[in-house]
Amino acid sequence: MADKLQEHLNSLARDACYRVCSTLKESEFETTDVVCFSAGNGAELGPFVRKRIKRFAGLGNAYGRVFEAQARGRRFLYLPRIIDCYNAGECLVVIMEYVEGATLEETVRLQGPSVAAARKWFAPACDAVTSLHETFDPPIIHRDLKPSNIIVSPEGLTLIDLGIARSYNEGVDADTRHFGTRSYAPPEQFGFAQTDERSDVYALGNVLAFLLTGRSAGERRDERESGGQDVPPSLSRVVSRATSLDPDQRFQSVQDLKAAFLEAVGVPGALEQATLRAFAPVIEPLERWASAAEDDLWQGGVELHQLARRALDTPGRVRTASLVAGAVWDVVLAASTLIWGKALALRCFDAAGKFVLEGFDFSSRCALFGMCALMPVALFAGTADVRLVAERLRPPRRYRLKWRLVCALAVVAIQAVCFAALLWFRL
Amino acid sequence: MKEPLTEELLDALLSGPSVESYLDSTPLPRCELSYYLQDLLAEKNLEQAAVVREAGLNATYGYEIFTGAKKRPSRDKILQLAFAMKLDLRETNRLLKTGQVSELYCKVRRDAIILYCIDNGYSLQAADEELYRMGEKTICQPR
Repeated sequence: MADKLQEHLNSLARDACYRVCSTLKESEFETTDVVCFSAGNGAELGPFVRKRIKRFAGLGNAYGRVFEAQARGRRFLYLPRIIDCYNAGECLVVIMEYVEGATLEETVRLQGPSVAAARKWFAPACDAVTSLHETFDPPIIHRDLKPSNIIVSPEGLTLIDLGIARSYNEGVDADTRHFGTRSYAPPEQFGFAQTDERSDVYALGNVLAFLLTGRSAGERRDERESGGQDVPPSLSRVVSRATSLDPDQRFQSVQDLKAAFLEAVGVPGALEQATLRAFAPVIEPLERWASAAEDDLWQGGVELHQLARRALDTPGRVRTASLVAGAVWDVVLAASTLIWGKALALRCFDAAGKFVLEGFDFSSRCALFGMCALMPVALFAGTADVRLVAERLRPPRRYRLKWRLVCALAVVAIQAVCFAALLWFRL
Repeated sequence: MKEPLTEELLDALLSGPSVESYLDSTPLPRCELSYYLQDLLAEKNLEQAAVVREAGLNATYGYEIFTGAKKRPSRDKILQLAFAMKLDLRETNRLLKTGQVSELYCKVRRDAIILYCIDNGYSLQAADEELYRMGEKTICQPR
């Protein structure tokens, strides 16, 4: 008790040190500024967001509860960290971290509403609201869920503006004060009943409608637009149920809404996941083998590729050797033509049209094959630099190395085969 | 009848069809200290004598404040009454205003401690203990 009073006085003393950098929002109930804490010697800490909320009807209570929970060590993934929360006269002052990022509204307006956007952000938004409902007892009902109160940052979503959030009070017929944003607030928030988790379900349904079509269901209902442009019917059903005017018709909790959404969008539900888990002992080794084989092939290909690259790119001995080998091959082929003489040459030309194999012995056939079919290629490839072959074929730039490899290997293989055949059958 | 808050009254005035209708429809809070005290007693179902005793005031002096014979009691005396009637922050400030003394201002250390005590529902004695502990002047002064 003693510490709390001193802490309170310290907070009030610090209150004078905040320098306002800019004002984000000003209304009759609250003022939101971006502030920096200035120490005596001019050093600054920040930026922070400072909200001054007029205290009546329990406005801003939620901040106190979140602050206490955080002070006790609870970490909230989806709420800003509240640095300080104290009463300064008739205002509640809340200092919290400044969350960088665009609001969900701006993000969707920039990128366009789509099922992909819903897929990306709706499930985390549901988790965020669930953390508010389930971490606290009695649950904190946000009551002002809308795309401009959700910040999208690389780390994830953050819910801001708990200004009108209130704790659920058993046995109360209606909220004491009626606040909210018209197109996102459910009917009971206007005074017909107490708001509870299902009110947040209604608001989230509107958020989903916004993610899919760019407007909330409330706005569309007002303007009597027909069902969404590109909204799949399964998602349309989820939105309609979530935004039913009667709370009993809606999903009874945000988790139910999230499950229905995931099912509609095609993410495996609980049953499917259970099946996958049951068959995991069979599926997992297969998957691992397949990916390992793929990796090996890829790795082997890469290594071969690198080897060929090194070979081809290295000037000097290898290149000279290949040139020499090519030249030798040409000489051999030319010599064999001369040695075998006119007889074969005549026969070749005779047999060019029809492929008569009976008169020829196997070695002749091979020689014939070598000379007629492959000599031009071999001559061309052997005398030229292998690189030029690839250049001449003019492949696209990024495949050039691959083509070089293919050409080089093909040429070398063909040369080797012909030479070997010639030698084997000649002997 | 619960006294409507200023903001709502202002809204009603601005949105009403005419000033007369507004004046006829809503009774305004009475602006003198004694009247406001009596209204608070009625609203909270408190007994004047019990409140004066609780506040630690002399019975005659307390009677005079409530009837209006003593028009300008000191600030601390009004605070004693506020604690005795267990008023919340807004009512306390309004009481101080009608008593023509300064309201509780959170930048003043003593006021900040008193504000803290009011917010946390401390009794007059507990509040005095806290003030004494923090080295400030207590509300109840020994005669």
